[in-house]
Formats: sequence, structure tokens, C-alpha cells
Amino acid sequence: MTPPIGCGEAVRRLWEFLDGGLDAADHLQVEQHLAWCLRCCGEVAFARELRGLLRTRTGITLPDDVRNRMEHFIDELGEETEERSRP
Amino acid sequence: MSEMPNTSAAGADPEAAAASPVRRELGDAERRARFEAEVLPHLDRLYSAALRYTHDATDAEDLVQESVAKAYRSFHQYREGTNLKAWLYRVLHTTYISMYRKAQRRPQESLQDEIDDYSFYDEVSRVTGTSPEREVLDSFTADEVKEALAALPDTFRQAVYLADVEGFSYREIAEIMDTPVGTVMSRLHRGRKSLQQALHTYASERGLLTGPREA
Repeated sequence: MTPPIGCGEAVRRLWEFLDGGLDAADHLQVEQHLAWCLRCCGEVAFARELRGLLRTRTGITLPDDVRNRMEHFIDELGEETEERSRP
Repeated sequence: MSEMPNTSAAGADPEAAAASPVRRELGDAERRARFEAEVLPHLDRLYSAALRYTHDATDAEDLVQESVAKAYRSFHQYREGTNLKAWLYRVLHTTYISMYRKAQRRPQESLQDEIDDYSFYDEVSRVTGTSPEREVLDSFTADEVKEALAALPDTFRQAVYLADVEGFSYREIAEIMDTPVGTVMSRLHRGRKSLQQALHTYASERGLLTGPREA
């Protein structure tokens, strides 16, 4: 049985908890705290949404001309290597 | 008979492989095909990452090309079954350092300590409403989020980006950035706080955090 933790400790570990960076015992303590603490559940949900925001609103699409140049470049890399190693 | 071992035989015959000047587990044609099949799908992400390093489209393209060339030459070092994406990011990171930062060693970057007690969530949840947190987060435009991220010092931005956008673990980020795991964690901690403060400012300017509203 792990000792219960308060909001301060749960909040301190919150991002590590979300990152999957806590060891099993510490992770469990946060989970147990979240099982009854509405306030911290709210903060966890908020942090998850904030991360979602970073994922969805920072996308950059590779422009077609850049993609074409790069694919061509990789193609040439392959050709050069094959030519060099031919006897 | 030729000096160079036939590439397909080099893989099968350990003696021929040992005699070869270059360690060649894969034949050239096979390596080329595998490289194209496995690396091309990551081009978008690599370019995004390169843009975040260089802040310039031309430099980003150069950085990706140089990294891809390096990755191609050392593709034999990549171990199958390990995380190819993390390996490519590592190559990109070291290439960036050697291309752009060799000459300009900067002083250690830091973010203020005084923001430690700050909580964006507390600030937002003080505002009454049916769902103020969601309302505030939904209000941010892509440009604002990018700007807030771009405003972070280099190393902090990379850590936040690698963790929150790319989903790498602490250990993977430590390997990509060649720093101890503890440093990654502290950069993440400070970077995320600072990022939230920047977003907080946008929300305040928009009048979304003006305190409890009158009923």
C-alpha cells in the first residue's frame, strides 16, 4: 500500500506522469490521487489538451518543390554509391 | 577476378566482408532500396524539425540534405528494430551542430527560475464559465502556438518539441540532444512553463482571463 499524496505533489509530478517518466510506485501514487481528486483530474485533462494543441497546431507540410529536390538528391546518392562500388 | 567482393556475396561470406574496406552488411542496391523505403516517409518530419532548428527555409533544406547524406553513409550503423525516427533525429541534431554552431559557441541558455510557482491551469480555471479551459485552449491560432514555441531558447524549444510534438521519451531525447536525462527533464519543465506563460499572455490580451465574470 503506497501512502497517499496531496495535490501539490501530484501537480509537481504531473508532466512526468503524462510523459511516462515516473517509476511504477510514483506513477501509482498519482493515479490513486487522480481517482478521487477532481481538481487534479481537471489539470491533467488540461495538460493533455495543451499537448494536443502543440501536436495539431505546429504542423509544417513539406512543399512539393522541396520534396522533389530531396527525392532527387536521395536518388543521386544511391546512384553515386552504386557507381563507386562497381569494379 | 575483381578486387572488390561482389556485394551480394559480401553479406554471405564473412571472409569477403572482412576483406572489404567498408563494412557492408547490405549490398548497395539493397541499401538504396531500404533507405528510400524507410527514410522517405520521414522527410516531412525531418524538414519540420530542420525549420525549427534554422528558422529559414533554405537553411532547413540544406540541413535536411546534409543529414540525409550522412544518414545514407552511416545507414549500416542503424540497427534494425531500434527506433529509426530517433536515429534520424540524432543525425539531424549532430549535423545541425556541426553546420551551424561550431563557430558560435553560445553561453549556456537558461530560463528564469522565478516562474516555478506559476500554473497556467490555475489562472485559467479561476475564470468561471461552462468550460473555460477548453475555451481558452481552443482560442489559440496555429500562428500563436508556433510563435510561443519559437520564442523559447533553442535547447528548451527542441526538448519541448521532441517530447510534446514528436512524442519521444526522455531517454530518446537525451540521445538525440546528447545530454543527460536530468538536463532533458529540467529543460522540459522550464520550457513548458515558459510556453504556457506566453500562451497566457495571448489569452489575456484577448480578454479571456479577465477574472470571474459577473452572472
